Amino acid sequence: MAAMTFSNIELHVLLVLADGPRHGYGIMQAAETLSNGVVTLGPGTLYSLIKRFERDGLVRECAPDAERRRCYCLTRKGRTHALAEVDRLAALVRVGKRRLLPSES
Amino acid sequence: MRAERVYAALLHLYPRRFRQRYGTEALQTFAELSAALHTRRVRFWLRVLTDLARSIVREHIDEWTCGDLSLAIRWVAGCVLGLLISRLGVMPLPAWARVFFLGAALGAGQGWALKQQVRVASLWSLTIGVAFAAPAALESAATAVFTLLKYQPIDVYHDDRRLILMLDFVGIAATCLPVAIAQALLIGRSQGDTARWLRTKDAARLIGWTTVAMPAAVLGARALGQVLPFPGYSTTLWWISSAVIRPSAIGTILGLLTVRPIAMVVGRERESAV
Repeated sequence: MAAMTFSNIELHVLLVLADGPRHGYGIMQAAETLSNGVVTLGPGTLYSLIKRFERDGLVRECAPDAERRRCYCLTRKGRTHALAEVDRLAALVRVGKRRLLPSES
Repeated sequence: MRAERVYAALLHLYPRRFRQRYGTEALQTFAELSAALHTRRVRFWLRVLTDLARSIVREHIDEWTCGDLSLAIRWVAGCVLGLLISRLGVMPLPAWARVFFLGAALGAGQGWALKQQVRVASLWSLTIGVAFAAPAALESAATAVFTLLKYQPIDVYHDDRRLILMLDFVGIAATCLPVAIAQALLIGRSQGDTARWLRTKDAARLIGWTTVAMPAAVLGARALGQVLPFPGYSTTLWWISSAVIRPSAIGTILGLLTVRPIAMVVGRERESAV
């Protein structure tokens, strides 16, 4: 499996969809909440991302919600790649802490 | 409602395919966001307009490169590199050999851009070189025959700039048509059934764009040179212009104009491989 790297916004969208299917505005709200207001998406950027994720097979369209809004969910491939990216970041955080924080000894 | 009408109009700035697929949803999401931020209109519009500016540019680049930006960058760089290399060997050679060298170098750059195997890239380079040299060789042969028959072709002098421009365009396009057909044959060969592939829209698009792109690139670079004249005559500046700037400009324009059909074909190949 070829590794994929994601930008901050991309990873937030994937993490939001890991919780379950969501419609466009739901993804925007959840990404903003998840990032404590750091990630603010507009409709253009959001659907641009969804288009690329769909093309790469990371996200797919699923059943519409009660208000007939189109919803999207994470595919198995999307979950695998998001997890790999989170692992990569976790390793980076460990290295960063080791180097930047004063050692306990 | 007025804000939604404005946004619906702005959605027309996106590429058609994106708008058709996601336009309705984007408008619905915009309406929900607008309702949620109705007390903070300035902040809302700032967010929407910056988002529009960024995503419109990104979507047009994505549409033009069929989502393969790295291929597009390699392709443009390959065209520039090919034309720059071709300038090294042009001085003492006859016309047909010069254009063969130009075509072969351009083909080598394109082969590198497409990450072809050495054998395929060499074949690509050789075919483009031969295709480029064919019209010049024909012209040399015709001149030799005319000389032998003591036939003097009528040379009409004219100073109609538009006519000269048109004749230049047609002349370069005629040189590029064999190159375009050679490219289409090479890609058709990689697709398995060459005859079937040549009847597709992709092949027609590739041949059409390649034939038009080179004259457009040459005339575009010439126009650029006229708009940006050098301050005074200098041998060094002339050399830089003819050996570096002009081929780079032609290569960039050529690469940008031909990348879409190539990216479409390569993208399809990748999808079918998956």
